[in-house]
Amino acid sequence: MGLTGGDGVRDGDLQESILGLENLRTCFYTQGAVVRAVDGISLEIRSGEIFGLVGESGSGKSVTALSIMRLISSPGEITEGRIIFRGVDLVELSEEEMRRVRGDKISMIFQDPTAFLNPIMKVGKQIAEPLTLHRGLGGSAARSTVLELMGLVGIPDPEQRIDDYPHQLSGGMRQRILIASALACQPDILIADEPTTALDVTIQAQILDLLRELQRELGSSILLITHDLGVIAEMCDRVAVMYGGHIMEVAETESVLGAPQHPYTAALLESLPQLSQSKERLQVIPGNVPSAVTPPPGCRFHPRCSYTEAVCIEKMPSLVQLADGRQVACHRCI
Amino acid sequence: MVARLKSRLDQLVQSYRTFATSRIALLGLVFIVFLSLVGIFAPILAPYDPTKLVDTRLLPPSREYLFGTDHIGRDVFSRIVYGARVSLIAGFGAQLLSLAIGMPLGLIAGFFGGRVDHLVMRTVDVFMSFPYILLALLLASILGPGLRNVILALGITGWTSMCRIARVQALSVREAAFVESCRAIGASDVRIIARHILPNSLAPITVVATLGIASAITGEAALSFLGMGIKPPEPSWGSMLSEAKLYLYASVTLGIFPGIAIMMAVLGFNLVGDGLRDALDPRLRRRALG
Amino acid sequence: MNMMDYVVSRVLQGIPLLFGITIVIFVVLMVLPGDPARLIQGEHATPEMTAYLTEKWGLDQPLHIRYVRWLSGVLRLDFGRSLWTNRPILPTVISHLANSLLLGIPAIIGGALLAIPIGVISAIKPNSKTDSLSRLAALVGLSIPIFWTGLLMQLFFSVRLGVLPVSGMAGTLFSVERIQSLILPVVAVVIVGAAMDGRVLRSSMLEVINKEFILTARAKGLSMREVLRTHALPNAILPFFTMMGLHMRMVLGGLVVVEAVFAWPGIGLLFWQSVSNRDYPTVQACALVVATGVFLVNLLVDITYAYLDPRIRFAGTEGR
Ligand SMILES: Nc1ncnc2c1ncn2[C@@H]1O[C@H](COP(=O)(O)OP(=O)(O)OP(=O)(O)O)[C@@H](O)[C@H]1O
Ligand SMILES: [Mg+2]
Repeated sequence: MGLTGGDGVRDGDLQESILGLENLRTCFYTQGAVVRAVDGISLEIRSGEIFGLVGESGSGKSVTALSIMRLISSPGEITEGRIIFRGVDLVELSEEEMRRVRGDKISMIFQDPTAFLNPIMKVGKQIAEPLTLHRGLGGSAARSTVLELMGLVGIPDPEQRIDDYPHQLSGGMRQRILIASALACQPDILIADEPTTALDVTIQAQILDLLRELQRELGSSILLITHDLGVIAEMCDRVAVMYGGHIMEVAETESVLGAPQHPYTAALLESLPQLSQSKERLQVIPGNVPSAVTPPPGCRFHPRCSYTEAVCIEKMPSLVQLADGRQVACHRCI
Repeated sequence: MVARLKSRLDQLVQSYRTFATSRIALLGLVFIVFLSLVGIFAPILAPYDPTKLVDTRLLPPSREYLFGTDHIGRDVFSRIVYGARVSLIAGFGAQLLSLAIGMPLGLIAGFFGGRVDHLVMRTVDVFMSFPYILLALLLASILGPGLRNVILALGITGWTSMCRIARVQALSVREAAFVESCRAIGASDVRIIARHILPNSLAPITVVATLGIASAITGEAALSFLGMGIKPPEPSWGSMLSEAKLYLYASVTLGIFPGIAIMMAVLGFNLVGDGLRDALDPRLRRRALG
Repeated sequence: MNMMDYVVSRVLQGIPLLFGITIVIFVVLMVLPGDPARLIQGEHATPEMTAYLTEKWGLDQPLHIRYVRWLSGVLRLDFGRSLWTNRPILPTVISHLANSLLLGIPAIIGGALLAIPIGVISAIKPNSKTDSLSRLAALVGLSIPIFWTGLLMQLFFSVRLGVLPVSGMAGTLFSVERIQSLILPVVAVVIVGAAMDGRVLRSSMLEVINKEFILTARAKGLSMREVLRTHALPNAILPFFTMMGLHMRMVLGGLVVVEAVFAWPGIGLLFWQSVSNRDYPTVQACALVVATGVFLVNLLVDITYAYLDPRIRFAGTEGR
């Protein structure tokens, strides 16, 4: 089977929505308190695009990603909303049906490739797992596909590396292994949760280049989660800004970064003189990230916003579409 | 200082809550309290002298002899009641001795490190090469029977886990910032150990000691069962079982009640020790991450 | 450091340990209160006999000379003669050791195998009813004295039902009788082993199951069952495995008692009888054999562990 050679998904149906979140709400029930980590968000990811999800630490990005994968485990739960993937609501699927989606139609890579690889399983085997599971490939067929995949993600000398264990590879190589296993079944969507945070700066760029290249070749969509606006600027077609479990603004990358409409996005951009290098988490806006247990009433951002009015405290603004097509959740913009 | 005290207090309260909500651990506590009361009030509770013959031998349980009579006609119930005394005294006594040997050794090894540490730990390794009961059996045979000697034999062989845990505690506290500052203001080693390391080590040491009592109680019963512990006519649950073994065909109950008693005592301390470990270890209390 | 270096260094580390073991065995018997020449005669000691034995065993010699003499005998595998039977000790010890292995090996393997479902069930749903129940069961299993389990089984299976022999080792190797006589003592040890191993496996499973790579495996679409089998269990077995060495010591201790209960002619029974008979040379030999056994098992466990864990096996080939 050819792993390369995109089958033209990109051309005609760029505008087609492939994944839609509708009012998704995910809560964690911890001792006595309910943590509303994702508090009713709606999003749309289109076929063949790289969609960015940016926000401060604790804003609910990872929980969103895990909710899409239906990998939220106790004490967490998706309490409301729909996740429409190719016309099917993933929330309604049984665990058995969902397993057929994971790793095949939607796959995911994580922040820290060292922790997210099984330390005592050969990397080749780890790449082969989804192939065996979803494609029934075994033995030499699986092996040759794995070798091809390893070449595809830029691992030099795959023959030598296929029987290595994770600790024998460098951090960047480990992330490539994770990417190879995520892409093994040519998923429609790849969710990448801060795929470069744990890597050296030079390696970061290589991994991002690789992701972009692969996306172009395979035609998958990518949901790229990051707290780095520089990465967003470089990689993403469109971007959503998340804050306190809510979506604040969604639009084309240029318009969000060039002319932010939401005060939070603006503050975020201002707090970053240079877009490029920011390894630290964003925490430079005055005030604190809102508590997910007892969020402020009204707009989540009002305690830190410089344009706060009475209505901001009373009412939560909903995400509305502006004339230029962008969506913003702010009373000022309505 | 006040802040530290307050956070410690909060921790304790939290630990207490965890412990108190664990029904299993409370059950263990009930066992221990019950057996302790039985042991303390043995002279009141026991209807007969546990060492005297009262009736025909091997009588089944009846209103007169709750658990029946044994192979020579002593009241089994009275022997079990007095056996609680022997068992608990042996358990606490042996563990106290282990504490007295193991804790200072462990604290010293962990605190000073280097050669001292090496020597202590290699000694521990040697002791740990023998099954506990094997060394105890050997010592008991040399020391001779009797409660005091049983305590000695079990105490001298059972100190290794105490030593190890005390050492780990001392090691971890040794590097802590406040110990450094104590050094800086010229506090003596003994003072640092007594004032800082010891209080911080109390929680894990309590856990190990509680579990240690359980294994000392088993140890006493095993030694007595093997004829190297408490000798008849003194009542010991272990030796009662070894007598029962000879009358398997003649009486069933003889082999049942002492076993239940031993199990209650050992299980009691194991349950409490386990519950304490869960309660005192914040790492275990933390909920699993998604 | 490669595997071979590791094995060699691990064996070398054992030499001082074995040395220490011989000292303890020697010292415990020779230095503790009382004159061995008199102790051995028990309550009927006579001064003549004491003088004779003192002379015979060279007890009037300084301690270190006696130790060296004993040790050089041990190194030549000469443990002397039994004070009880006056036969050479070595053959007796060897045949008893073989019987102990016959009982101990199936018991230890059985316990570890039984521990797997206990540990896994508990870890799948921590703090659930099943988990609490199996935790309690494991604790009960640990708290029941092994000689009582033995006694109860004898009462039920031998006295009541009459299906299995009460005690002793019957028949020839691999005969039905031999296997029948093995069942009860093996089960008694298995209960303790399963309880102990089950608890350890549970906690290492719980640790592994919260690791990040488990999430990766689930994101690939593997079912929880497959994740447990192919990812969690192999990782949890490793720390579990290191505990096995420690457990071996406790299981061997249990073996001593079980052999006494079931009159199984193993090293534990020999030890107990020799202690009772004050046959100290045999006691020394048994203690040394058992301690060496514990050491060897630990060595084997460590080496196997190093082999099973690729992070140790391929140490020094990182980050290529
Ligand atoms: N297992 C859990 N139990 C309780 N609360 C949780 C759990 N997982 C996440 N949360 C809460 O959900 C909120 C969102 O967390 P999330 O991990 O999605 O943040 P994030 O945006 O990915 O941040 P980061 O940039 O640090 O990765 C946080 O307040 C966090 O405390
Ligand atoms: Mg995250």
